[in-house]
Amino acid sequence: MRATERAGRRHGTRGAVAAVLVAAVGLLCVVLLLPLTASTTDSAREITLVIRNMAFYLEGGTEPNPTIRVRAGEEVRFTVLNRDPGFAHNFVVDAWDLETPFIETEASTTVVVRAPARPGRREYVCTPHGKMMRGVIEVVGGD
Amino acid sequence: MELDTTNWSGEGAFTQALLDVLGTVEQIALLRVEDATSSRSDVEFNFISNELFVQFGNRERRVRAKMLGIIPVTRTVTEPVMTVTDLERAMCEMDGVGPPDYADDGMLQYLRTERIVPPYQTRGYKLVELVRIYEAGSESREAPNDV
Repeated sequence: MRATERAGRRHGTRGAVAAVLVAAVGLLCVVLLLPLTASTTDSAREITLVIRNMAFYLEGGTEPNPTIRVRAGEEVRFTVLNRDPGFAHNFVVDAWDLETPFIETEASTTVVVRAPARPGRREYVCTPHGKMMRGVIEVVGGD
Repeated sequence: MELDTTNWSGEGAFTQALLDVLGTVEQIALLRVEDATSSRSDVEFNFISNELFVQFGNRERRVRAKMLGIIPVTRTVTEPVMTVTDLERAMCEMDGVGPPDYADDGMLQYLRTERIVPPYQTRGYKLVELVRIYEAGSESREAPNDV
């Protein structure tokens, strides 16, 4: 009886040690993987476009409808803010199948897109004001 | 009425039309017109942006009040004879002007577009004229590019 009890206790101790080990490995995995998932989300480059006076401007910029440069394959988060009183605008890149809904005055919208892997130049436009609100997105080499 | 065109290039037929009709509004004491910085042009368009600042005349009105809530007194207050909202109403009635395309508490905005095809040419360009009217002393909406 005593031998059986001892064996049972030994099994119990081993089980507890194994459980602690599994928990520790699990915790380690979570600690190691969590930053990776976070960095995937946060790695998107932020580009804020402000619309005013019937033109796109980079946030803080003064050049109307500027050329926007992104790296090939880069993830980009475009935030488009409409500060044009009385006009609804949108932001469209046909070649990337990217189109925001119409943005009312003082409203904004955000879209996340991955730039193509190959360098090139594509047009961005506001559909109803395409003659005046039109610029170029330049995709440059990834390095 | 006093008209100040010092900072205006003279571009914009609709702006000129607005100046003509606003010149007939007795309640306006001063009218200032300026080129907006956002004016620009390209092969396919010419964007003219102008800003008008109107200063309304004042009138004096006597109002009764109570000093310290007890002693009845009469005070004279000076107030403008018109507001931007009144002006909007007046402009709706004016020939060749009509209601603004956009209006809020401090601004009336007109947008006029026209396709211009020069003689003996097949391709033309789009003429876009944006005119914003403010009460003098208000801030222009050609705002700095802050968010």
